[in-house]
Amino acid sequence: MSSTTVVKSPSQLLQKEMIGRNYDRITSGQSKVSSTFVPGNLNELLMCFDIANNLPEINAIQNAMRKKSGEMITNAERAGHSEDVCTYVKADIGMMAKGNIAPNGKPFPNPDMLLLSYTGCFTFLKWFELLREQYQCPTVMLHVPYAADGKPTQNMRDYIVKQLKEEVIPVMEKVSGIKFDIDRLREYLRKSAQAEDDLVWMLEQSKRKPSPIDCYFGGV
Amino acid sequence: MSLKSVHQIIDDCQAIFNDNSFSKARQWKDAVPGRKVIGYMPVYMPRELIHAAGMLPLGILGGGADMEVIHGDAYYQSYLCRIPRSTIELAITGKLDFVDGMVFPSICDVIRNLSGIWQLLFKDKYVRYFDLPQNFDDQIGGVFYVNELREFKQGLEKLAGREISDEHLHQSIALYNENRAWVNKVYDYRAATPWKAPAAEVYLLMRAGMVLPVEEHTDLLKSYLAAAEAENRPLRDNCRIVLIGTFCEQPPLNLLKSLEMAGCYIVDDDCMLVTRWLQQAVPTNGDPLDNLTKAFLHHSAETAAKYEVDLAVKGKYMLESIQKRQADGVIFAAPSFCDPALLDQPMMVDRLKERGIPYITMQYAENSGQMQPIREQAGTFAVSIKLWSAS
Repeated sequence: MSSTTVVKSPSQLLQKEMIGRNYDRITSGQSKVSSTFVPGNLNELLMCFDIANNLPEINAIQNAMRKKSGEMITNAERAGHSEDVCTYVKADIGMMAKGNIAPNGKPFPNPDMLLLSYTGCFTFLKWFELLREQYQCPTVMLHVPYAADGKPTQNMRDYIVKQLKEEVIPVMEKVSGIKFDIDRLREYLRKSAQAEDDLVWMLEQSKRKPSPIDCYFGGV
Repeated sequence: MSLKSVHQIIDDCQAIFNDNSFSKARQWKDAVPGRKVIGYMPVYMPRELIHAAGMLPLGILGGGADMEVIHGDAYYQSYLCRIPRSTIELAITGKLDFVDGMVFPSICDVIRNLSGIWQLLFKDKYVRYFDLPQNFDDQIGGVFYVNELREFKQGLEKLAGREISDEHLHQSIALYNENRAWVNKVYDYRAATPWKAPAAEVYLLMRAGMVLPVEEHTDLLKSYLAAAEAENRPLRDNCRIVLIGTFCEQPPLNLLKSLEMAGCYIVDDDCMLVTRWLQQAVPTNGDPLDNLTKAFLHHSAETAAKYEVDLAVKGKYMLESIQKRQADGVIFAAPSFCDPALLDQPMMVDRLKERGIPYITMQYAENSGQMQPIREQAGTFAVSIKLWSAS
């Protein structure tokens, strides 16, 4: 068998390093960990409490890329989960049954909390009910109403703010032992807004001919 | 009260069930100029508001087993349930052309997005996505919900061209309280004497309530109970089961018949939960919107379409139903691709396993035609209960 040298672009290496850093943090035992979702995540808020985010969709993708998720999904189906439902859920549940090993080879710790950001995908609700059965840890939900007319109403905004102030933040304070600092949140949000502007600027560069952005780079 | 026999009553209900053009609702609308009809989807709808606006709430539960779906498949991918396709088909083929508005309560992503398709297709109609809170705190989900109700009420008032007074609402709440009480009496009667109230009959009776005005449906329930009691029917050596998972897309009527023919009396189910979603009578004094909100938050049925805040309470509704109805086991019958039912099922199954309560699982679509495997599965289940359980 001949050995093949894989050439990775700097962007791939940077992405790998960033993901690896987050997995090392999650598995280090040094940080509190919250399982939460990618869409509608409250990452800036978690950062205010020094809580690491463990994202099951990313875990599922990592397992899929290493061709490990097929068996996990099958195992979950054998355990009673329907073939008809989202395989992200089954990859996650199947991973638990296989020892919950992170891509860095170390076991995931049980999460200190489950942060259910229900932003539109109904599966999320049931997914975290299923995880709660397993971990039996504090679970808090943020229900983001659906803006059917394309614009959120004042009632929707008030509902979200109340949930954040009266349910989400108190649970994070309790789990982390850190008091909420709104200035810290403002600073993270400022940086997020800047990152978003930078991302948009970067994506805009694809209009150039030739485009400096390839499919992989744009996707990640 | 009608002196009809049970067969005459059920024949009438069957005719309503078979009629995908909703003739009864059309007749109600045509009887008085200016009347309006509002369609709604499962699982829960505060029908009291629609009634108080002088309109007819019309439950739309898909196209059923016999309707051919052609257009509907063009709107939805193949790996989704059937109810949105057949509902679109009903609309595109003109069967809902008399309906003045459609309301889509939050149940899952598919029904939510059906509301968006409706907005695009029927721009001249009143369309509302009705978001129900998944937070059950009075000051958080409660405030959100009461404001949603207020907004819904304003939309109905605009459509009706008149104000909905508190007095009107109290009257409507009282009528629906009475209806829920009689629905519960039918369910209690079936659980006590399932051979006298077969599941398919009870189902047809409740389906009629999706189309008929509430006052008429209550009378129908009363008539049925009297007629069923007068009917002499043989008791079979069946086991008693609770049917779970049928809260949105409806099982074919033949599925319900097949389960009972195979030896399983259905003593409780979650079909058309809207008829008994609120577990207690809603007060008919004070602020009616506050009353409906509190009833929703604190006295509503547990179903897979809801988030259960408290892990310790998860499954309580099912377990209480098993105990109250003295059921021997559970049949989980979920529509194919139904996220709420299928994702919830493993958690419910765990609670049954912990208690040694027998169960089986199956899937269906509203147009499933082949019942032999279901009869075999349910028959084996019934026999195993008879052989190995205490009953």
